[in-house]
Amino acid sequence: MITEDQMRTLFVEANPVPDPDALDLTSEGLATDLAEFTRRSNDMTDLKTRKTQEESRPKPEGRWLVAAFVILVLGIGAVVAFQARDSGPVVADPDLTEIDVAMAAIDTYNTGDFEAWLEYWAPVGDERDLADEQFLTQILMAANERVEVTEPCVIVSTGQTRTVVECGIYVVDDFHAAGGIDSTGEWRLVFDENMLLVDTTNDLYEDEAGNCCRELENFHHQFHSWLSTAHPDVFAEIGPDRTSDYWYFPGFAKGDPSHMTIALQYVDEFVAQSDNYPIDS
Amino acid sequence: MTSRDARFAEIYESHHRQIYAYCRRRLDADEVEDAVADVFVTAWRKIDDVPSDSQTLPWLYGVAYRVLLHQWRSSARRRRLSRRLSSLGVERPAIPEDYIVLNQDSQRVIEATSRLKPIDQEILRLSLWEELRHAEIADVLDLKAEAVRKRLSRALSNLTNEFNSLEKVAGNAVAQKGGAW
Repeated sequence: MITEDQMRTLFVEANPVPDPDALDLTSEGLATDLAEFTRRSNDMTDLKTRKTQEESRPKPEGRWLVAAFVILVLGIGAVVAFQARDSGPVVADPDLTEIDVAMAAIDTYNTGDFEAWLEYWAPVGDERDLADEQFLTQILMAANERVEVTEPCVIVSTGQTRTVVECGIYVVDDFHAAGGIDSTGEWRLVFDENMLLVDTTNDLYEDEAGNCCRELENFHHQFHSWLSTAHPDVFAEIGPDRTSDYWYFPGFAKGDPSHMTIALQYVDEFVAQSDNYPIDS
Repeated sequence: MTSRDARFAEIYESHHRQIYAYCRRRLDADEVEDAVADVFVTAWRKIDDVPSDSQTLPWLYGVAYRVLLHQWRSSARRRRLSRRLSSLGVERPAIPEDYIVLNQDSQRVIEATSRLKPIDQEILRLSLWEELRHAEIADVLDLKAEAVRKRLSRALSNLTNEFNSLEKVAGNAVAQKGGAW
């Protein structure tokens, strides 16, 4: 077993290129690139000369501009060709803004239609790419989680890479609501070409000390502790898998989101017998 | 040379190595040149938006991150094709430059890292390989610095767990093999 400090050291040591200055780019790197820019610039000049004579010949000072133009055209061509090959799922009208898509995505989420929800995500987006994310979403949908927009969604950043949309939200689901647990916060969605890439929301259930999910963990653990005594047969079926605890939704078995549906049948009974729940919101 | 050209040349000459290294850390060798070119094409197109001084490199990393997201899509397709070919008994010839030789620990680190969420992987790399500060990582990934701090802490903890799990599995495999003998 290694510690986090040792892990940090190992990660640093695993850097495949620890020293960029040691890269041998002298023959095929910078010098070649610059020569290539120049060559492309001259090629462009020759072509234009044949057609339009001297007036279209770029001035020597403009070679960077011409080279960049050539690269830009090639780049656009590559992107167009790439997109033609990899159009991915088309879920939204390209004329829609990210805010339109965010609102539509939230509406879809609230229907509990997991497959329809996935259609809003880019192929490399977390929800499509990661089994854990899908598992969490399916659990929350099984708990009938609803997201209510309390503050209008706004574009907070268009950055150089992506568009970030934030929406003020209120979140509640049937399982946690039985214990008096709900949350308000900001939903922070990162878009890549009108498709969701990642949800970078700070933890909605964070306590004042900045600890995530403690309130949820306590509820889950007490529920399962009660269930193991009151309904041991049910606990045997849906009790948490101790060998693979789910790190940001602890207390539930990792194998099957339908366990939440079963848990919903017992949560009111648990709360009725609990001294700690429901908590005052 | 115009001031715009000069500015681009300065950016290119100052940061080409770092961007090349960034891409090489995340891509196979034959994919790096294209990615680096895409990054600088973007830089040229947005030359007026490129921040100056110490902000330039994190800005370029942000562009590179976006470029690689696109490139990973095609890589995933290629890997699927490669697996399919392999299942048919057709092996793609190995290209020596595809691989950087890593020791066993490092291979396990890379494998453990691949089990984390992509954004957490990137936060770890930006922090420990590119040595960016939390605020710089936040700029690159459009996150809040506080979110970066928390995610980094959690990612390191999860990485440690994943690494230890792999070690345990490897240890069990060795033990079982030993038992079979």
